[in-house]
Amino acid sequence: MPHDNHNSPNDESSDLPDEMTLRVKSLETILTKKGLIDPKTLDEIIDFYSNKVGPKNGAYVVAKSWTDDKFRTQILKDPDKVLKELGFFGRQGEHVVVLENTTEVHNLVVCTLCSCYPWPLLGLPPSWYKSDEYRSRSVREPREVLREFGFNIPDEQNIKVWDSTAEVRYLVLPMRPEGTDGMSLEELSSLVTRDSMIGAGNPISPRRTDE
Amino acid sequence: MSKVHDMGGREEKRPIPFLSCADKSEELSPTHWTSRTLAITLAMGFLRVWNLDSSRFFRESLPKSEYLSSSYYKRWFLALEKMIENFEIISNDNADKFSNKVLQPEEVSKVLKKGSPSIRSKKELPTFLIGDEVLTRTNFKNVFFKRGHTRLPEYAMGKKGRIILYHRAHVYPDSNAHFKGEAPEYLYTVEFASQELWGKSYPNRKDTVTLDLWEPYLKKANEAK
Repeated sequence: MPHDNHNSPNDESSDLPDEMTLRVKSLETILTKKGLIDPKTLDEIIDFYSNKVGPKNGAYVVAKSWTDDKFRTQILKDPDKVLKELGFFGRQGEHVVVLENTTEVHNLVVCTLCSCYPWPLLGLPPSWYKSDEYRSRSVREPREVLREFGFNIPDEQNIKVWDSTAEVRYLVLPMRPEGTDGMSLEELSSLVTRDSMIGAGNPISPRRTDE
Repeated sequence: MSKVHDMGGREEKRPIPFLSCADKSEELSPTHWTSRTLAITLAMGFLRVWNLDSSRFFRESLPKSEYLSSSYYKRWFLALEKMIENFEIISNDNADKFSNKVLQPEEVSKVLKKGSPSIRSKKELPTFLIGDEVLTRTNFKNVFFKRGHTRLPEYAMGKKGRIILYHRAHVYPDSNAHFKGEAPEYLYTVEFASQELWGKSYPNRKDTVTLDLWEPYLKKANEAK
């Protein structure tokens, strides 16, 4: 879907990159000289969020729930315990609630006051999630918003929007796509998109080989 | 007057700048200023001069025009500059005080995986039960600090909802953001009919919006306003 991102203040590329690059570099230098931060620590933090957490964690939880009823029951009942055991616990994911999509209910997650998001399960939030437009509109006209994302919710399916106003973080458990019988956990995980775990999309449908 | 960061339900016609999962342009980079800003902000947090709630308060207290014209990480950066100035972190002798708290590279993975749960214990019993009908307070304001931080959005003030989840007691941001103590309060997920929030013109009668709300934001539905 075409969008002109350059009109949005939430698009990181719309700031003068040179000015911000210089300002951030200069602050980093001062704080380093004062002994308050270590640039190697910053590299480690960026590496952690680049490589150690991300949507693959959430995708594992979803795919496992599709294939293992006992796991599904546990993750819905006591998510923090299960996520700790999996090593998917941590900053901005200390109190998780898993929301199950059904044919009757579609769940959509937002944070209207800032941009709270389950970091250990999904990594850092995408720009659109942090945008003022999404924060304003998703609670008031979620069906329009989802249509804009190319995703139609039938009238008979209710939408529940979850505004993350406290330290509870939400993970949407999307419905398993058809045509995935017999797939391995790994194959199923690869179908689970980040957006489907926010409620802003569906998992990928596998292409039928007989077509 | 509504606060600049309190976006929910605000009149907004612009499309959402949606990028699909396949887009790689949002990936973190070891050198980009946005990633550096994220990392500096997290690292500075470990000095424990301020807390998560006060950081949010500094971000939402940026001048309205500055907030609205800045990207997400620019907001973080501007608030970080303000906090450093406000708490006199780098002035003369202060910096030395933090030397034993500076986050070391080898600690990063451990502390980020540990997180900092906001759940706390509280002696008094919770007022509400799952299933209770509640009213959110009208024109709610922070009682600890004038025009201070609160997590009850304006669009959900003075509305009737129902408690669907109970999360036990958590750090109360209204107090903690202003260094008046953690003052734990019971936290509930409250479900509102979208038509209760937006009026009968909202097209789907059964759609809902839920919020996580602390007990002081709520009263019993049958209590006088």
